[in-house]
Amino acid sequence: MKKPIIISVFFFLMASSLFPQAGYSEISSMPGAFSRLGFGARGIGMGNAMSSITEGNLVSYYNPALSAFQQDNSFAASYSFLSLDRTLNFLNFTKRFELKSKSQDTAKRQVRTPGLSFGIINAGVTKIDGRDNQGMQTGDLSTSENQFFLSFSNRFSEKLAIGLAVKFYYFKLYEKITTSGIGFDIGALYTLSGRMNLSLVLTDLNSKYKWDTAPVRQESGKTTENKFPIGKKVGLSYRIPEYKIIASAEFEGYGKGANFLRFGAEYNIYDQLFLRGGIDKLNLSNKDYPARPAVGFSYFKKLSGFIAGIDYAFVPEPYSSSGEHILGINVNF
Amino acid sequence: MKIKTLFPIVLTLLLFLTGMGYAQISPESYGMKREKIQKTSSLTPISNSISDILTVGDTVWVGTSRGLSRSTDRGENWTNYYGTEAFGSESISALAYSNGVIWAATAHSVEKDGQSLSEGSGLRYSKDNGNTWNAVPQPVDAPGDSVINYGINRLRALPVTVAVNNLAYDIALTPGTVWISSYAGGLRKSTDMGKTWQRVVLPPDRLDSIMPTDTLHFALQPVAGNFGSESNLNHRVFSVITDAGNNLYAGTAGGINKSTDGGISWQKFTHQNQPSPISGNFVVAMGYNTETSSIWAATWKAEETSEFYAVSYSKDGGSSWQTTLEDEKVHNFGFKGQDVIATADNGPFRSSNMGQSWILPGQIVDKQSGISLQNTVYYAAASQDNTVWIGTEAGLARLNETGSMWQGDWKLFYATQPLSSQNEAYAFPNPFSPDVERLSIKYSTGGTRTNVTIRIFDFGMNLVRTVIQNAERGASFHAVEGQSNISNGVIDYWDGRDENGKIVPNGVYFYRIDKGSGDPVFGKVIVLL
Repeated sequence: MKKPIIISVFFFLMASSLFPQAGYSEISSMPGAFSRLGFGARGIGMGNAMSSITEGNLVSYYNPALSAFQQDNSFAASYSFLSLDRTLNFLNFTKRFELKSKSQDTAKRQVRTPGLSFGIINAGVTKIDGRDNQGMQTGDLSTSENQFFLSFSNRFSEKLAIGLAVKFYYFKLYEKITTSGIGFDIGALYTLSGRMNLSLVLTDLNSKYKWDTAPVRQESGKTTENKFPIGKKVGLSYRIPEYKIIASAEFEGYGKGANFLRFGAEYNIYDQLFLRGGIDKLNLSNKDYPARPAVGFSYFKKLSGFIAGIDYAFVPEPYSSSGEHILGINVNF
Repeated sequence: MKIKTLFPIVLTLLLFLTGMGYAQISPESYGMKREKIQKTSSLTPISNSISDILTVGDTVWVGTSRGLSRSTDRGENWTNYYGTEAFGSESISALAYSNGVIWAATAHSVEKDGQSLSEGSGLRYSKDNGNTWNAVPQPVDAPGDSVINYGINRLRALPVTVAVNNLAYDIALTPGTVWISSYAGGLRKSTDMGKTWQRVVLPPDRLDSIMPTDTLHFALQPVAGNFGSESNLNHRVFSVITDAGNNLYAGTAGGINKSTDGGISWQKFTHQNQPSPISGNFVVAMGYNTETSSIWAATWKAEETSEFYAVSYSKDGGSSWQTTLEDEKVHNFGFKGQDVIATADNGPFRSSNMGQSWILPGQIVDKQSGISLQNTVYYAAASQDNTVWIGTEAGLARLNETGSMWQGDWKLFYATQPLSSQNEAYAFPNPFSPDVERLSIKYSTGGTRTNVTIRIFDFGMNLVRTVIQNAERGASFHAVEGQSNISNGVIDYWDGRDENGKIVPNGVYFYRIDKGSGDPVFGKVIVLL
């Protein structure tokens, strides 16, 4: 069974044709770009088409309803090697609770399993060349932008799970200039069959940055408010257990010339080795917008009392000086 | 959970948190360190932030954020005083000249209670055209200086014992006397070349005039505090001028004060106390045009809703005022013959008919270099015969006016750091505010003409704006320094807007410069509105 590998390689080789002339969509000049790059090596390696996948290590970043499906406890951390002195780090913990129900009905007790997931995305840019108005260097600057999220989900029936994530954003842009904001994600997951899941997610409801630059700009400082774009996702995943393959597709619409298709696949090639591939950001509204193909893998090893694994993903980044390398570890216990 | 289980988690957390430690690194100082000066340019003033311009015969004096600059050949060569023993790293806040003596007031920024405040650092004067300078410390009061004798009155006076918010925004010179408007320090005069200073008593907010024979009960006090609850906006002084008859005019946050007896008695003109009043009581600048015997004042809105931003002018010594250029925030005045130039947020407005109509110069472009003056705030203007000088926060401009108003060749004096190699690029100012300035992106084409594309990206390298695409650049056109050589800089500009023309949100953006078939050059900028 070589098809998944062939598909992955095909996706990757398509990269050159997926990078047309740089195209503009309004979402590019809206806040929170770091939070729309994906989460961790597994998700990014599958083209971020993750909102309907209920197997493996799950992150509520993609869909707050997912945590109810987590097996055991999952801890994951990723570090990204990005060009232009950008940093992008991920930290996540997901846990499903086995609450004892008062119900004597065993079946009912099993389906009502709540889940919890929390995590951090930390992004930043270093070595920014501070200059005054005649080009004299004033020193290097750096920024730190973070999303902290906490989500709860519950399976209300065997087929339906719903989750809510609270997201706290904190951005330190310049000395004395910081901002923060709170937003929400709402997600649902519906099991269409034993093999197929359907997801619906709304992201970044109410997320915004409010700025007050008077501490630096003095009289010319001003108060501004920048709203994050609200994303509307519909995802579909299909599991083929006989071939150990999960495939997924997803549509995410922002309007503003940014309506994306995503595809991802994961193949458990042998034992604990997983290969992945995907395409993110196939823009249906703007053909010039460059899509982002991705490949990756994970390898797990059973140790005493827990399973440890490493994750890797690569995304060739158009218009940058090099691609993205995301390296992660995860622990299941 | 077992220790063995916890260990990898803790280790990972530590590794992760190490990566998170990218907090803001604050520059040690926003002032340029003297040792960092690589080139004390004699072709431009050393700073592009021009606060004041003064012309005396063939000499032009320019006050900047990096001290004083002087040219005696109409800008072909400059002497910069930044870093000298006399001026150190101080900024210039005001200039004045009379009878062979040039005066310059200096100041700098200080951090106090999380705020950046201006602090006066005194005055300098030269009697030999800037060859040698005498230093005068910023006038402050002794803690016990709490009483002033004014005619028949002993008035309480708040001792201004510090130089914070006490700096000379303006200087006026009358025979034998130097006058400074020093904001919280009030109006002060010296009759011994700055060795000693006397505080000048102006009317309180509630009185329209004072004279020594009046019986008065008020405190000379710009702000309320422990000294007393009285707070007089009219004791916060921002501008001072003298007319041909040596009458004095002091502009404050509470109106315009006129004295015809050498600063003893004062009459106040406000938006409220005249049938034909000034537009607003916050008077940030004034000028006197000897050709038309007219007084010009930048009268900003102060406290009352009926006040408004405008230029107020008087042809009868302040008895009545007309207003013009409404809603413009004017910062200063310059004159060319009968013409008045009001330097404002939106340009150097010029009128040749006493403010009835105003004309802007249009885009100011240096034909020789191709560099244009970007959207900026205009702070100063002056003239020498047919030469007009305009000072902005983004450079100094000179017009050799050969035709009608604003007609002629412009030259821009634009100081930038040279590039160290043709592979270097930098953008400035960084951070920049698209509201008030444009980002200059300086790079090299190696001294040759080539097609250049500059694009702006967000954190995810998504396109925000194509600044120029396959535009021909290089050689002498758009070159900043001299003629073609490999480090000759080319400058292009980003206005901080996206492809839809909207100003982008605060954040970090990346620029990519593609020059011919060579490797692209990247850089990062912070947008801070």
